[in-house]
Amino acid sequence: MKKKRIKPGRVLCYAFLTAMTIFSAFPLIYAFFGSFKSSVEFLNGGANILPAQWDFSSYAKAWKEANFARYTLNSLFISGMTVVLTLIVGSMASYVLARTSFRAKPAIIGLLGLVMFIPNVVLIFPIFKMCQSLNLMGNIWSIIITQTASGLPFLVILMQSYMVSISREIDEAAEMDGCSFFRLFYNIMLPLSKPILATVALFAFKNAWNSYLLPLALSLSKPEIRPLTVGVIALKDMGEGISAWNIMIAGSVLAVFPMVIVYLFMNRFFIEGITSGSVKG
Amino acid sequence: MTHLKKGIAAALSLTMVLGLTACQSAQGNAAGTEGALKETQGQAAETENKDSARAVKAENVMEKHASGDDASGEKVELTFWARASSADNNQTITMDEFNASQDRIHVTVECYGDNYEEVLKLACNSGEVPDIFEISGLSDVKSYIDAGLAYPMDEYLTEELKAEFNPSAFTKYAYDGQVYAIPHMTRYIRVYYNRDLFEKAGLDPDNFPTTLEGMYDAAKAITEAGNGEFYGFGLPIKSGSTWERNIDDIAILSGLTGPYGFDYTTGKFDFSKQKPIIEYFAKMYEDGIMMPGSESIDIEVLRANFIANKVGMYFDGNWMVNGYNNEIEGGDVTNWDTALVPVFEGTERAKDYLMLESGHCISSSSEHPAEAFEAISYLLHNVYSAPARKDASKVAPSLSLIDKDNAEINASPEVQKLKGIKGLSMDTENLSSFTVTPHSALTLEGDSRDTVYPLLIIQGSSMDMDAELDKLSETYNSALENAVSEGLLEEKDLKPEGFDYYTR
Amino acid sequence: MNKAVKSRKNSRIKGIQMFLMLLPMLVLFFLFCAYPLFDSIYLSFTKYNGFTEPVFNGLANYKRLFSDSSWWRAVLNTFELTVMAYVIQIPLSLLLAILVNSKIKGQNFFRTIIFLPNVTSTAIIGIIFFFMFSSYNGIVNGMLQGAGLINRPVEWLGNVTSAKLIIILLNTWSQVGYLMILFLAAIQKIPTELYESATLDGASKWQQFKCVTLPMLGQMFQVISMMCILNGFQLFDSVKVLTGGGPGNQTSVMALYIYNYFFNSTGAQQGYASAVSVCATFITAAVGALYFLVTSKKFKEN
Repeated sequence: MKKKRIKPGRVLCYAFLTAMTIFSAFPLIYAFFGSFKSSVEFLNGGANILPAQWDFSSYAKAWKEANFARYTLNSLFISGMTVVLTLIVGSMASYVLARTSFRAKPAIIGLLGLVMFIPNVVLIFPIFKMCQSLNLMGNIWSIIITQTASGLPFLVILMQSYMVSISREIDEAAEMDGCSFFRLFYNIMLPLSKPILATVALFAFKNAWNSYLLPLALSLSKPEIRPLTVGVIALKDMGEGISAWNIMIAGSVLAVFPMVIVYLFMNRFFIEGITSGSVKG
Repeated sequence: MTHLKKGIAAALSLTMVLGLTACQSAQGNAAGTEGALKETQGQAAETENKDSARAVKAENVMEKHASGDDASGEKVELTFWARASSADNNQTITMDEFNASQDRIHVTVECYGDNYEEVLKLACNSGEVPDIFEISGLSDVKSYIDAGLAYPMDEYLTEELKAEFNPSAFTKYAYDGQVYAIPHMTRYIRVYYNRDLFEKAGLDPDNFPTTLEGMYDAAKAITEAGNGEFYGFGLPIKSGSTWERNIDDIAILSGLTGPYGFDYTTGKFDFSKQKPIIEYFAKMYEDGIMMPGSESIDIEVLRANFIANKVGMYFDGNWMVNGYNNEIEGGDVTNWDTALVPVFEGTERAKDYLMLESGHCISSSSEHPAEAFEAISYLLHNVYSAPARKDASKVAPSLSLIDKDNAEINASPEVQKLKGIKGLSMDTENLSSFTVTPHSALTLEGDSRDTVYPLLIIQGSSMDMDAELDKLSETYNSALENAVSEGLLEEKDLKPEGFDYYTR
Repeated sequence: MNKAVKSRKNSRIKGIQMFLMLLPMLVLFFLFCAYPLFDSIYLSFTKYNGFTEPVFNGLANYKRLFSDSSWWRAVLNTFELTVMAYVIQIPLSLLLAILVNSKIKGQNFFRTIIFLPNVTSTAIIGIIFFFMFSSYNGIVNGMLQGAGLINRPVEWLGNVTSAKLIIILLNTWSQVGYLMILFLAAIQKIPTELYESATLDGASKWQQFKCVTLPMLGQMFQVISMMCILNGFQLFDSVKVLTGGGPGNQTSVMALYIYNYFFNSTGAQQGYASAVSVCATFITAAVGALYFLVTSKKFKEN
């Protein structure tokens, strides 16, 4: 009897989820198959998702003319290092902000909150002037450091609000036992915060991987340090006079799909990293 | 939870591995310029390979490879920054040939594409300006001079050299009587039209309309014949250069204004003079004659559609004759042709607008200005035929600022056989430039023409066009006054004595 | 007494450790956020072309700013798009989170695919959307025409209203899965006993949602909403790739407007671009602060 009542809702629920799933996957599927269309077919359009004739030349060109191996390595390095820096710098700072009170604390948290609302683009120009005076220009670390700095305010607030929600009982007990402030952080808070650290690592990695504006500006004078996104969009103006859009689509696929594949294989970890963290409570 | 631990451990070890590889790659970076050099040489060699079919070139190739091996020595190394986006461009090709033609100087060309201006400004900030840098029509020379970046080349301009060039070569990038750069190529606008679509619409493909009224009717006929399959006219509203290519060109041909609505007879901007032309395109848009999607496509997409027989006609630069014949897939199959840009009925036709391309500055911080000029000079003398050398079988028409070169290359049988060649000009006689194009030196305090015109075309009927155009003129004229008072422009250039659009 | 000395010493050590742990973030913050902001403020009072010395010109840039109707248009667009994104994305992602959290088959699959867009780059997906909605050869028009729904291609990106919708669509596409996961995390944090007792009390699903889920989301809801707003004000990549602000700046947003003045302008516009930046910062900060205050108060009441 109960089952019967639930059914129409279920169907609706499935229909809705299926629609959302198609919506989510469609552009990627379209791009994937589009990249195998010849440039003429691609530009002629039509309703076909599948190519009439499989043409692999776009990939050959994109690989040959755009320095993809290099860009991929750059992207990996930038994203990986951003994660490491963010975790180290961010977790310490959020711990301090979560567990202590001092006069400047509200000001710092307030500032972090406000900084999140400064559009990235506003700071780009002064940031690369800064990189110049720090002699970082053209160095891949300039991208890593600025990427970390621009992501930190949000991620610190995220970690801080998580750490606040962790019960104080354990660390109070540990403090009684004479555990130092840093040890407390290292031995107790960090293990307890693993879920949020995983989330933060994920955000930091993803943001660094997909970031466009910042690395664009900082790799202007040194194409060798470009990450994938910048490299792909630079494809837009390949071949003077005509933009080879199909090469660009192929490039997009090359830039997007590694992340998609990694995600599909590790999605359990990706999503559980975010959700399981909250289950512990 | 254990899952998570493993995951984090995996992620950490991954990042560590990454860190290690990156350290290695950073060391690779430290080896630095050497690697970059090898890369460019690799590219150069690749380009050369294409050419090697040409027996004449074979020798040079050998020479280049031989000299390339013992490169480091006392050779003068020069860096050259170009706006082009791929290494496969005319300037790089020409410079590779220059490197091969002698063994004293080696020029490394670095291409920056769309970001070029930003890169250059950045470099100016940090004082890392290359020996030679391209300077486009859009940036004003004076800023570069003020920043102490551009080096005057007058001392290298011999009388002999001067005699070779069309005089306008020395005015475009001159300031205070000194030449800072010389345009390396020229271009002008033609109508590109599809002969097959003309026939399908019952029009005569051998007689492209000579009036704008006629062109409107033809475009209409093609759109009607197309019935949704193809359309009469293409206007890439998204591209900034569209207005210079379409509206300015007609305005110049009709003796109304110069580029960007600048009126040389009054020395002021007057966009209202371009109103009939804007209305013409707005009507075409409103009547559904234009290819749908004009609002959001740029010129490259339009070209692809043109080649796919979807667009009856559109305006484009002379270089696309080469582009379609040699570069774009299918460009040699489609039955297209070129024609002169029409004017309104009853309008006397003025000379075509000759646009001067970017020039090349020598950096004042360069240690080898003489060698840099040698490279630039080689470029100026040879770049116009570079597209021809990319592919030995097809020679492209070009228009150099050196008239005798034009005569030579354009008379060759290969050029005469090219598709679309009949509509082109073979010399600079019927083309003329303007010595100063003030719009490029302005700091506008308001919307630019390129922002306003699309709206006038798309929403023409619902806007007060006169008011918009007056506002535009006002914005430009007040910026013009500022530029004059700052010394960026000189009054005498703005209003040349006895100026006439028909005799300029 | 000995104990008191020890604890004072301990607290000093603690203070030093606190400071050292906070320091790296503060350094990064000052170098790459605070200082650049001050630099912007300084440049906003100058005429500057990006490479020669800036020339002080007082309030001229700000005067110009206030009468720059295109800028205010971009501001309006930013608000419009942010509100639209908020109104669509928050309920949608919350609904998805609830559905995915319920006991249905394949929830893992749905969750995985719906989150998928978020791992891709908006700039690059922008290119793909541009192709999909291109009026002449886009697959969307192709399909609609194939199904006989339209005769003439729809000019998705040429029309201001539909262009904005597509910007929102792209934004929703890439954000909703992420917001969903955040909501999911928050929902799973709610003790199941609450639901059990609510069910025992005979509460309907809707009542459960209204009386248990929503209030329990609490601060998480605030954070997620903020992210959504933040995202709206940062809108750049998608607009740049899809419309470039066109036709005629009608779809421009604050970030794009600033970017164009910094990097795509002729003449000495960097000083003005800085003034516009400062203005944008004020606007965003004001909205952020306002949102923060209003919602914090509300959550406290609860």
